[in-house]
Formats: sequence, C-alpha cells, structure tokens
Amino acid sequence: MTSFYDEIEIEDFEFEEDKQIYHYPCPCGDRFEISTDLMDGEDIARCPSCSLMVRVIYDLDDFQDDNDQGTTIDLGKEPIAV
Amino acid sequence: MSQSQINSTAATFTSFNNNLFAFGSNAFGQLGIGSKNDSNIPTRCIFSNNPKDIFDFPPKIIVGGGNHSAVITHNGELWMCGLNNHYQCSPFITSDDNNNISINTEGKSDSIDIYHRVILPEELSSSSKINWHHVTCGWTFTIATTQKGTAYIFGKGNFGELGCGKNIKTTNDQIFKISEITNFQKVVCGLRHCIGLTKEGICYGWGSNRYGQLGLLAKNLEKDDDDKSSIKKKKKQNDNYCYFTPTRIEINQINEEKIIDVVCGQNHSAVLTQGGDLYTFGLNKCGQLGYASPLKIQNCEIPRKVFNLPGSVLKISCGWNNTLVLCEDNNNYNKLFIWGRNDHGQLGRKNEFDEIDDTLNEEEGWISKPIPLYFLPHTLSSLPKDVEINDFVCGSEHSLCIKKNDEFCECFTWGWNEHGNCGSGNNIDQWIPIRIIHENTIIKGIGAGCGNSWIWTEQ
Repeated sequence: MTSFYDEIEIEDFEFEEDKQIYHYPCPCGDRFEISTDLMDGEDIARCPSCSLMVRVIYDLDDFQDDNDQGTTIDLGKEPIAV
Repeated sequence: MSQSQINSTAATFTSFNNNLFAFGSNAFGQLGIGSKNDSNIPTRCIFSNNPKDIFDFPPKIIVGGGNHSAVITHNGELWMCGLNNHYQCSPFITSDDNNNISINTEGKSDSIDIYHRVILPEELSSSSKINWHHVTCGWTFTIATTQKGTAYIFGKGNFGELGCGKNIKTTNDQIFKISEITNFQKVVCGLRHCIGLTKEGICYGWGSNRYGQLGLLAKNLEKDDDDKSSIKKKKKQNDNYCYFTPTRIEINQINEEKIIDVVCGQNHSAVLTQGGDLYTFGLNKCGQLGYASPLKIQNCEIPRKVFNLPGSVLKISCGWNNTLVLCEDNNNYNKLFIWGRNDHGQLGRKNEFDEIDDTLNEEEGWISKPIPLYFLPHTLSSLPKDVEINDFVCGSEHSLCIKKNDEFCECFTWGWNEHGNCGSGNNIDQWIPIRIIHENTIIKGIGAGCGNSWIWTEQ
C-alpha cells in the first residue's frame, strides 16, 4: 500500500507558468511536483529527489473557470448532481 | 614561497583542529562542502579565503533552510552557501579568489557550494563591521538579526514572509530591513511564517496564518459571491490568511509574561515564557501542539499552554511536524520530551502499536493511522538514562542532540534519514538515536535544515 507523506490542497501549491507545474516544498529541500495532468484525474505529486510523495486534494470543477481559452473539460463519467 | 602562501598554509592547519562538518541533502551545495552531492557521513565544510579567527570558538548559529544555509561565527560574521536564485544567500558575498572584499551585485550566481561571508555595502562605506547575532533560513529567504536588534531580510516569499508590506514578495538584489521594530532578539521562521522576539520579550508575527501558526485570529475573509470557486479565487482567499507586516501576538492575555524563546515548525509554533511554560499554536495534524488529538483539534490559532510536562521547560525546538523540549523533572533531572509525527522515527522511538490497526489510545496519547503519531509529550526514552543534554535541534524530519559526558560531548541523531542526514553512514531511517562519532573530537555545536545537519567539533 502506498503511504503518502501528506495530503495537500491544490491552493497551497504554487504554480510555475514556464513549466506548467504545481509544486509544494518537500522536507528534503526539493519540491513535490504535479503537472496539469491534474485535469486527467492524476492526484499524486512526487519529489524528484526522494521517495516521498503527497496526495493532492482538489476539485476537478475548479479547473473549468481557470481555463482562459474557454475550452471545456470533458468530465467524462463524473456523476452530475441534480 | 611567498608570504601569502605561508599564511594560507597556516590557516589551513589552524582550521584543522576546530571544524564545521555537514551531512545530508546537498543538491545546491547547501552543505558548504565544495560539492553538490549528498553525504551520509560528516564532511568538512569549506570557508572561502581560509579565514583563521572564525575557528577559535564555536559559532553562535548554524542553520539550514530550503536549499541554503547560514553560519554566524563567534565573532559575529555571517557566512552563507547554497541556492542563490532568489538572492537567499544575499546579493552581497565576498569574492572567491582573493582576500579583497568585492561585492557581487552583477547578476546572481545560481548556487554556491562553499561558505562565503556576507558583507553589506554599509559596512564598506562606514568601515564598521556589523555584529550579527541570529539568523533563520526559510524556504527561499533569510532573516538575519544584528546584536543591536535590526532584522535584515533577503530572498523571496510569496506569503508575506519578508514582512515589508503586501507588494514586497522579493528583495531582488537588495537587502531590506524591518523598519517598525529595531530591538529584535531573534527572528525564526517556519515554511511560510515568521515570528520575531524582541529584547523586551514580545512576539510579532508575519507571513501565513493559514493554520493559526502566527497565533493571530483569522482575518475577515472576503466574501465570495460566486458559488463556483476557482483555484485563482481560492488562492486569493489564501492571501487573506497572510499578514504582510509584523503584528503583535498575544501569548497569554491574562498573565502577560515575558517570552524568552520562540521556535517554528512547518505550520506550527512554540514559545517559552520566563516562568518555564510552553505555549503552542498552529497546525495539529500530527499532534505537534502536544495537548490534543488531531481528531479533536486540527489546528488552533490561540496559544495554549502544554500541560503533561513534569516541570519547567528550559529549551525548545520544532521539526516540521514535531516538537522537542528540554524539561526539568521532579528530581531536578533535565530530560528531553518529544511529540508529533513518528512514521520515520522522528520521535526517536519505535511505535509500540501495530500500524496496520486503525487505533487510537487517548490515554497514552497516540494514533496509528493514517500517520503514526504521539499527540502528548513522551520522554526520549531510548537515550541512555541520566545523561545531561547540552543542546538539541530539529531539522525538517530528523533531530540532533549533544549529551555531555565527564570529559567530552557526544552527538546523537535520529529520524528520517533518506539523504544521510543522520550522518550514520547509511540512508536508513534511524528509529533509535545513534551516536555520531567523529574521530577523537568533541562536538560543541549543532545545526539542522531540510534533510541536512551540521556539527561543530573541537579537538
């Protein structure tokens, strides 16, 4: 079973425009990183320098209005609350 | 042989007796050992230009940050190394190649793998040397305090860590001062928050208060009139948790006692009063506040006294998710007490419970899942009994202590050791404190950072 170092909300991550990655400090000095793959449901941010990883807490809907191009994200099989 | 060569040889010889050694995470040269490779054994630090007099006595401070580190020597000089992409080692460092002081203001060199002395322009113009007293290294910034009490800041901080107003998120190629307060005893920092202690014993906080780690009440949040909340909006809300200038922290509103020390974990803080009481505040996700289960209290912005300690607290330190204190017990023995996260041996003890079971023991103060932790103070029972602890310090997820013997001091390390930061010669987590032997030296000073450690030795 995978054990996570921590569970961190996406808004606590910082975003690096150039590389299009979200990052959060790792206790080794490097950073837990996750790309915009978040939109595909990926939720593990890994540290390139050690074995630690964190689970990213986020709401897929949040990415919708952040998208300046106005393209819609296919929510696929996400249940729709009525 | 020229005169300068003779001096240089003599300097090397002098520095051979008393030395700084480092081990652990070193991706940007933050150990100051002349390389960018991790080391799991104590490796000698290098100081540019072979200074002689700084080795005469132990340093005042040795401390690591995200990817940089700082040393204040016994005679009040500030030396730094590591990543400098945001000028967190300062824009003003002495040159490598000669003994003349030249200040590097033309473009930042990305990282420095040996210690360089920091000299401010005002020291050159007035030719009076600044006497540094304390320094703290944050993730990408540094705050250094002079003997007189002025706090100088350099680097980058997006959460108000620089304490110079909402619009100041980087100092670029300058060094800033905190102008409102001029009598700091010290300033310490966590991941995204800072606390300054004045010589009068009053605390001021700035930076992120997201979990109450500044001991300040939540500000009035901006109302979000839109039901949909995007990440950008959430980030904007986060700004509301940040204090951008020093704000007074009331530790105990009923009994206004002098504060004599303050330390910060990643997202929590601890202060020590003159009467030997310990108050903690901030995140309690790992039980790091020391008085309640995280199932009951996730975080607390009100400083609360930690009971469950046998007597007066003498000294304090915080790791990212734990707290370590030296406490006088009923028999006047000084003992270490520790609490918080224990999934990598951070508390210097093996978990006495089965980590697979989803259990909580309220009375004993531990939880096994999702992360094994102890939320009430426990003795560091694995250390030899009746030893006198001289000093101790926590890194991000590991700790060091020095114990005094009859004739010499020896150092113990424990905790997360993936980068060799316990100095034990391997990278396996140390669940029980291990003695670091370094030839026939006496260890008289210690420091720690993010996955790294420093020891000062005398021969």
